[in-house]
Amino acid sequence: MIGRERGLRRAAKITAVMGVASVTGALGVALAAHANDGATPATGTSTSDDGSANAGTSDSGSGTTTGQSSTDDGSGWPSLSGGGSGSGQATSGGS
Amino acid sequence: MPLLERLPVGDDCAQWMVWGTVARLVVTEPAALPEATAIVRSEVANIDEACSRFRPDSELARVASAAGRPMRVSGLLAALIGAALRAARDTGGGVTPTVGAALATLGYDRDFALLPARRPAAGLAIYPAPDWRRVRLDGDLLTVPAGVELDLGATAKATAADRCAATVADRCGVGVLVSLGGDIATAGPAPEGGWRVLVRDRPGDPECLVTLPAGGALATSSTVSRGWRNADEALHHIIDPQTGRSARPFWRTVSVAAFDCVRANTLSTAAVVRGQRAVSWLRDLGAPARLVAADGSVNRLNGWPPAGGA
Repeated sequence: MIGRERGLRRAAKITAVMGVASVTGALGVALAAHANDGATPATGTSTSDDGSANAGTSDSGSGTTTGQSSTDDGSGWPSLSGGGSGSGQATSGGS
Repeated sequence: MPLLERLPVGDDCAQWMVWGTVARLVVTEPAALPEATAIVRSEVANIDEACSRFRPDSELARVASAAGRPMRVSGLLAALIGAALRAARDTGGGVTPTVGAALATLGYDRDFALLPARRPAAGLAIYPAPDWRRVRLDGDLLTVPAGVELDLGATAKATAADRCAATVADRCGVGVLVSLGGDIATAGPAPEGGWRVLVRDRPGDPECLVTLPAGGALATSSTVSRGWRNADEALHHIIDPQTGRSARPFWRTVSVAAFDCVRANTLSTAAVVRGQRAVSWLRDLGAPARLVAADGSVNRLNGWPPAGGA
């Protein structure tokens, strides 16, 4: 929440300085701040916030849809089952 | 060594080498295989042309030559960079596209298949990866600060798998599995019983066979594949942005299932970077995951089945 408030304050400041033309950018900051509310803790990267708003990252998802399964249990994750013995149709290993 | 796909190739399957690894395509209707193969080959070629770090004629190379100036990019490159930036956002910077310079410095400066087994010592100067938030993407307008080199390796293959699977299912009207070096996406109806995937890094490693439902995706990240040596140091391709070096190999492999491959691969890669802390992180997210520690012990989370004796 602290991050969101900071983002909103920054958005207001930008709007005041830049005027109407900056509204889109300020909204981007607010959206980015909102998106960061649920972000996981940083892993220690040198990520001091430079105040940038990146509208390209305010969207979620991969941009493609592979379709939800009828076996989706509503958790948002696929339900896996054991494949038993025999061979598979593909291998997932390190790549 | 990258993944070597050793499964049989039937009349419902095509397989070829790409990006130093194996592309494998499986469809539920063998008659659709030629068209599906053409779709996947074309999409992969387009993505390579857009974002290869090793091609001087790629669109990404032109971005690098812009030296910090904003540049209009194709919709495809914008989608690829957007996916990479979302991965960075979702992992708090743990998986970032700004590791290009770090990878090149460590010796991964050409297609992996062309890397010599041992690179000469280079008097390495290693720095943390630049902050991903310095990269701006507004629609198709991209700004990469001068000195920041992008590498989309952490997400481009998974993005390609997602796009290929979705396109094949849409155009051919069949169920499809696309595996690009083990980054697996599916779309359309699954075969009876689901998509069966062998999860294993190298021969002799712990393995298991799992069944993915229709639309499921699975990715595995490894600290033992795509490895090389620089002087006396063992290196691999997953960079810890905090150090600019290969992530500490607490895990041999991490596999994650999700409903799109980018999500699965983002989490598996971030888990490698996070090391031991990855277990509680993935558990809290709810992602089905399998983590194989350096000593071979296996952690299964969130419903990952204890199949295949692994």
